[in-house]
Amino acid sequence: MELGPIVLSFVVALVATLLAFVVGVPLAALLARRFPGRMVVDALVTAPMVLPPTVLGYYVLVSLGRDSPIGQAWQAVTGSTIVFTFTGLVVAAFVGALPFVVRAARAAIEDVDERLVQAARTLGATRSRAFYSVTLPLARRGIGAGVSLGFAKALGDFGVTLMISGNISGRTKTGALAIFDAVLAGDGATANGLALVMTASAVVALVFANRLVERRAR
Amino acid sequence: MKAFVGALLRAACGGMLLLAACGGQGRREVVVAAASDLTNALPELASAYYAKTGVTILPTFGASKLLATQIEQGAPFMVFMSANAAFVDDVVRSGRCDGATRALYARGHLALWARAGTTNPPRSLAELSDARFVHIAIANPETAPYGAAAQAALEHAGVWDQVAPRVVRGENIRQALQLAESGNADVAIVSRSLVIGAHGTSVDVDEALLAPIDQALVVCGPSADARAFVGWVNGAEGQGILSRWGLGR
Repeated sequence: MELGPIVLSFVVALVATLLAFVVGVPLAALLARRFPGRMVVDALVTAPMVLPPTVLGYYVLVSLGRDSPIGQAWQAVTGSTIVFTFTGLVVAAFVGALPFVVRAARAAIEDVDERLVQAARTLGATRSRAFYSVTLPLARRGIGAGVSLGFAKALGDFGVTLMISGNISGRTKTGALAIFDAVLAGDGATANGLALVMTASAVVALVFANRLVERRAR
Repeated sequence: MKAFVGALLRAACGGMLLLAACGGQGRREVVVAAASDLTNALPELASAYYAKTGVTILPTFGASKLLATQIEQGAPFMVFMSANAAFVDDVVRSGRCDGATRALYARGHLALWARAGTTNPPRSLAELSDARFVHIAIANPETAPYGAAAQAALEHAGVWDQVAPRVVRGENIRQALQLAESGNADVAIVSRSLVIGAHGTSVDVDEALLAPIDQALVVCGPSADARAFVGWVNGAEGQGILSRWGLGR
């Protein structure tokens, strides 16, 4: 069994989850406050959870493809395209992971007792200082749970990846694509092996997420 | 909550009734699994056949290997129109389809396509060794006969080794073409039947590099309508339409 696609999936999922964390937590903090249009922003961030992967794949292809302004700017700077590359895989996984991180982080941040934050403020902490030293530490388990879920989701992305990866062996063929190819090729041994590894990884990530949530509830 | 669930159930039942009524008795249908190179030709076959007989052809397109695998797993297709002959032999061997109905219905050709506005489009496969073609789209050779054919032709042209790192693979030839239509790939190597009428320039791949591809079909299951449709496809009218799409035998 070729393990390359699984390794690739893990690396992609790690990078994508890290990005989803960096982008998702500030976004969650923003959404935890009231501002006009909050519901719309929230719906837009959550939409990837419920949209068909083909719709997402199409958006990614159109908005980041070689004809798009973003795709062209990226190519001018890096010399390579976004689609058909590692970068494209990360984008596909990131889009899937982000809503999980944002939703969990937002709930966790909203759960933090406002009085504790206000106490910090009366002691002279700036708004951002209070956020970093009070809100974030208290919300860390919920954020961790979201990150674990996002990782599991990123690890298994198929639809978006199928549409933008070019399925290149050794470069953009992820675990999920390799399973698809193996099933079609009638290669049951490879399909079973890869599917088992992917399932085990997802279960571990979910158990991890559950433990974080349970400890938070205690 | 209870009321909500009740309403949901009623809506679901209503939807099912509607479906049952639409797919109702009396309407004659043939469910066809068709290779992606038939994406243009089969709808035309279907409407001509419907006009003539009142039988509706319901096509599902995909990579031939994908469709063959689905049929072997019991998918309820009544006709399998493959982009090669080997996958038809596979489904016959699996016992799902009737070997007596196996027939060659089309002969396909490989074409090299670049979208309109491409400066200096390629005139032959050999030119693809040039680095200006950054991404070359083909169908997945493992699942799509035209993908395998594209790879074989590039090998015979002696450029596969130079081209391979720049080859991107669509799930089927329709996706491979889409990757070039959207400008993400510079060229696509697909079937001629797919690019007739597409907005771009196409060059047939030299038949010295790749012989025309014999495409076979087979009937799966007992449907008499399916047998009649297949007979019509292989008759003068069906072949006339297929010829217009570059698929004549």
